Amino acid sequence: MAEFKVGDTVRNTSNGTLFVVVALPRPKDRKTADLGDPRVTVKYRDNPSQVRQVDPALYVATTAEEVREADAAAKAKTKAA
Amino acid sequence: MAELATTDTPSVDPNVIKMLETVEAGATKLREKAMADFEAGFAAELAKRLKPNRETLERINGPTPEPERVPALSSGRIFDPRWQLYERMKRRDPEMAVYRSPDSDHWSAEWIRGMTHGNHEAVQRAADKLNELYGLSRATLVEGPTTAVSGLSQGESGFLMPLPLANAVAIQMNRSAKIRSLAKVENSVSKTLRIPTAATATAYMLAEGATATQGEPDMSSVLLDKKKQQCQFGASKETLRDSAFDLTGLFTERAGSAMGQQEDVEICTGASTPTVSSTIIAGITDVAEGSSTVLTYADLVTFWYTLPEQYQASAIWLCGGVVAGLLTRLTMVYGSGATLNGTQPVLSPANPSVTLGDGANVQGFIFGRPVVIVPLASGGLYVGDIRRAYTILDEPGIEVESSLHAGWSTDTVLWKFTRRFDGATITADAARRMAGLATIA
Repeated sequence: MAEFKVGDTVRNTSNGTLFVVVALPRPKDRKTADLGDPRVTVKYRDNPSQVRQVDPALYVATTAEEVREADAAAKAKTKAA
Repeated sequence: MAELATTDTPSVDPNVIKMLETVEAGATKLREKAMADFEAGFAAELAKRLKPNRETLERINGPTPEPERVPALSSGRIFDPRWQLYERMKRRDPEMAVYRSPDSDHWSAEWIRGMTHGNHEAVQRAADKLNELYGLSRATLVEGPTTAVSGLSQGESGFLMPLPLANAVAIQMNRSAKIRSLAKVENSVSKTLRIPTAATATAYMLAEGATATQGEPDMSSVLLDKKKQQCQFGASKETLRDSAFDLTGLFTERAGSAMGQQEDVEICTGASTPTVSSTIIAGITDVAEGSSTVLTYADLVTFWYTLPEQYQASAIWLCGGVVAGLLTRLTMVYGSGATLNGTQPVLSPANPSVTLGDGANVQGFIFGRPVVIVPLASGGLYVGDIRRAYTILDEPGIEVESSLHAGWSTDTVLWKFTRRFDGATITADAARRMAGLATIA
């Protein structure tokens, strides 16, 4: 599993959308009914009210450069509209 | 030199020729006779078959059976005017017809009336008659004393309904509850049931002399703990006294369908307190759509193929009415490249007669798997092998109580139907979910 921290910006590998990590899986020693939750809680970077609990294997860490580029593209798109 | 006798054709004895002619004439005569015999036989058979059978239907089929006579409460015997209804039920609703007949409905109604009037003798007699009719009776339970940790029922009391009446309620309940027919249902007389779970074990291929990595999965368990569900309704005394009224139908449908509908709501949303141990979406991994709240066909494809392959063959789609509407309006392109053929809706209404189990009507198919509408929270779309993902713990038996006094001022008899059940997600990995869907693109 990729090493994510709360607050990291991550990218969905199938659709390229950027998310921010909100919460990490529970530690494995805290046994729960579902054998420890393997999911990472993320929110959409462009719509933080939408929160999803996702499989971290489908997400990769992003670089600061990548985030800057995405923000610039979004800004240009808003301006054009 | 002697002259050689030359003959072009050998001479034939005229007697032989005459004999051959006689044989041929005989064969011709024989053939003509056989033909004539055959034609005569054929004509006779044809005439016989074309002749209509003038016998009465009764003589052909045997005597018409007499309608079933139903004993009335009086000393005489009457024909039950509802006989036709029960005959039709055998054809249209064979499952229910097993537990409904003029006799059993009579005794069920007697049982209901006995309960109403506090007539214990009538209740007992009706219950005995029903057991006699069906050869059914409840098992005797030997459970030992109830303690805080025994897992047995505590503080529950009331009359258990006669089995045929309880079964009729259960059939109605199953028709309203959709998830019940899709999930795994366990029965237990105990209040709780613990189901062991484990993560996947791993096998290895090894060289000679090598040993496998220790791969024993973590063991855990899910505790199912029954919660009480009850519906209460009143019936006027006149209703109960009216012998022609279909009391059994009224009571089984009202109680059964109400309980079934609420069971689905609790399993989908856990709306009440107390509610099921976990909802059907508890612990399920979400698949995020590309643009928040917007469903595209590409998202749907990703969603489906994110479900582990071993669960796809038995997967069922669940969604609420709003998302079903989005799926019906969402279109997919079929064909590719130069052979693009056009678009079609992802979800097309299916033949309404398609059902899965009791109440689960199929709305259509996506990727070859059925779609069922359930009361999931708006914007939710679920796909998974529900039988492996979710388990319902059921209680054998439905309790019923009545009170004359609670409705004294309105001349109403109040009824309470009580049962207990629970549900929990057992294998979260057997399903995936999308949430927050509001529009399509």
